[in-house]
Amino acid sequence: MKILVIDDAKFQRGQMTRFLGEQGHTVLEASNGQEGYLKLCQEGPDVVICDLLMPVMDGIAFLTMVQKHEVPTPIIIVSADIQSTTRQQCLQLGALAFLNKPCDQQALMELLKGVEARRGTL
Amino acid sequence: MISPEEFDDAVSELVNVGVGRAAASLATMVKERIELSVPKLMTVPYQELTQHLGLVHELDTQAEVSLVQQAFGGRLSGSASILFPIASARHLVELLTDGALSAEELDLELEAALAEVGNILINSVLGTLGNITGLEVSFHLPEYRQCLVQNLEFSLGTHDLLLAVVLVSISGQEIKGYLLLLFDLPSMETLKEAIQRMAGDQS
Repeated sequence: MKILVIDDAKFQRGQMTRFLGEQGHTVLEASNGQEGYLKLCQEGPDVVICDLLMPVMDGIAFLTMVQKHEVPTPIIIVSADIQSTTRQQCLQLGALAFLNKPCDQQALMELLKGVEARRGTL
Repeated sequence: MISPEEFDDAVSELVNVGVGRAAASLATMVKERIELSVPKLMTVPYQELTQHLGLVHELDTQAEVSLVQQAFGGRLSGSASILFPIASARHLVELLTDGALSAEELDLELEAALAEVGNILINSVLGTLGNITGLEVSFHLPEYRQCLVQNLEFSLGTHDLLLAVVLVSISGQEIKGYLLLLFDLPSMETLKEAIQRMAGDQS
């Protein structure tokens, strides 16, 4: 699948890109929500993995924009913020799932398999 | 009404639970056991903060440290920092990257890696505090820098602050760091009310 990773932390993007690449996915990167939204529209990834706390445009603003423009791409939030209110807010804004950092790779793989399976049935 | 001792005890326990969660996150990242000290809590005038860190917590004020600092606001406000002496910081990044980096690459990666580690640890502690008390915390972006302990700055004005310090070390490795939580005293009133409510709910 083509996966867009949006995270301002270069270290986290690098680790995620390496992991997803090893699973055979093609990875696109963006360092904030604004850059990510542009790539989402231009490149049409199959799924987006997005951080929350970022400069320029944060993950909440990104989710709000995606919801407003009814972009159907599934979005998985991966954030260090463990507050349940934050998780609820993201899910209400249409995020497919909310994972905490450090990311549980097994849980992420399961989610991606689910997205892939749904893609196959469309 | 809870007594100051009961309040300190409750805050210490909340920090303890949060730090435990942070340690679990760090252990996952470095695949080693994390040792933690019991949180030490004290109200300290801002001007005496670095002196206090040296005298009470035995930080070498002349030592250079790598520091990740993250301010937070909402119903609890203050600043959280995680600091490592430079050698420990480099060693930690070596562990995080499975020793795959050359010395030059490690220098380049140091800031990004530690900023992310700091972000995860600080969010774990304060997020847990927020979840348990129901007081939502909003985070500012983490900032990374290197400085001498005596030159630490926290941009929190000049008033008294509640300081919580936890020593974090990695088992079997010569890595140790400090987690510093600084709370604005007005937000401690909010926390006191929340703890009182929780104590009332339990009684």
